[in-house]
This record gives sequence, C-alpha cells and structure tokens, in this order.
Amino acid sequence: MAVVKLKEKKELDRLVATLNLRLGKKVPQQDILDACIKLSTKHLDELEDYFSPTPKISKKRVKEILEMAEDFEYTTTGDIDKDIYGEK
Amino acid sequence: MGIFLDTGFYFALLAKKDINHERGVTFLNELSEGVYGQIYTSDFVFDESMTLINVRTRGNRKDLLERMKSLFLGEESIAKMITVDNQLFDEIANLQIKITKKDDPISFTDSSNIILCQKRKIPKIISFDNHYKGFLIHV
Repeated sequence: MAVVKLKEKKELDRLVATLNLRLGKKVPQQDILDACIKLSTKHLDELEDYFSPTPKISKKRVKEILEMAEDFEYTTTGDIDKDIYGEK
Repeated sequence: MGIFLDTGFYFALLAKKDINHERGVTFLNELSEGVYGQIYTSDFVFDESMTLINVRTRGNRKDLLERMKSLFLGEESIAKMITVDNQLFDEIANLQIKITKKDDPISFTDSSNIILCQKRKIPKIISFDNHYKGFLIHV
C-alpha cells in the first residue's frame, strides 16, 4: 500500500473530531478519508477550481487589452445571434 | 461566487464603436479588481467570438482575430475556459427546445451557457442579450 503524507494533519484531526461530535459516534479516520475521496469525485468541478483558480488580470494586462481596442468599421444587424447565425 | 463572460462582452472590449464598449471597459476593470470572484467562459463562447469578428469584418481583419484569440488563450486569458462536455449536449438541447419561442430562437451556445452556469453554480453573467433572464443575474 502506498504511503500518502498529509500536510495538514491537524485539519484532518479537526474534521474527524467535528464529524464524530455531530454523528455522536466514532467513525475511523480511514473511513472519513475514503468518503472525502468519494465525495470529491462527485464534485470534480470544484476540485478543479481549487487547484486551478482563475488567474488574476494584472493592471498591465488590463492596459494591454484596452490598447487592443480599436475604432474599426464593421457591419452588423445589431444582434450577435443574427450576425452569426442569420435572420431569426 | 463567480461570473461567466459571454460573446458580446469580448466583442465590445475590442470594438470602440460597439454601444457596449464603455460598459465592457468598466467590467474589465471590475474583473481585474476581483469584484466578481472566479471568471469563466467556454469554448463555445470562444468559437462565437472568433466567428463574430470574422463575420462582422467580412474576413478582412486577421489581426483582430489574433487579438480576440489572445483574450481567450494563453496565460493571460481573461477567464478560465470551460470545455462543454458532450455528456451535457442532451440537457443543453432540451433546454434550447424548451425555451425557444417563435420569432425569438435561442442558440445552442446561449443554452449551453445557462447549463454550464447551473452546473458550476455560477450565478452571474456579463452579456448584452436578454436570453438569460430568469436563469442568471445580468450584471
């Protein structure tokens, strides 16, 4: 069996204690960890956001984007869907 | 907390003649200040935005396509791009069928925006069209 190190053991201890208190019975730490993994697989989007949050838009990048803007000519019906997909 | 960026926002940012350009600039500043939390868009919105530039400029402005691309891809993209999972296609199509009205059809992309936001619990959208009323909060 592979050994997995926990960076925040105290946090796990707190979770176990809180859950046991709420349930009024003792659930083994291993079972709680297994449940965490099962629940995480059901919340993959949130897990993905946790590890890959939206990068911050820097002030420099805002300035660059604003400099990209241009007073260019274009034809439009005034409606994005009509322009892309044709008349409704 | 989070917000979804729609096609109109991206176009308005690049086009000074767009009636929503100034609003787009204000939103960009607010997004950079973290006012709305996590920022999302989708690969379908990317598709629409590139196509919209091409259609409206009649294929004459490849440089604008490059600029639009840079807003979506790379380390300095504005938003996190969600890929529309084909497992959602049935649900998206069903929503499109349900809310399409005579003389007011909704695109598959706009329908996908609603489903993605619901799935990801994204409450707000920056969009300049009215298809999202009753589903998402326009800011």
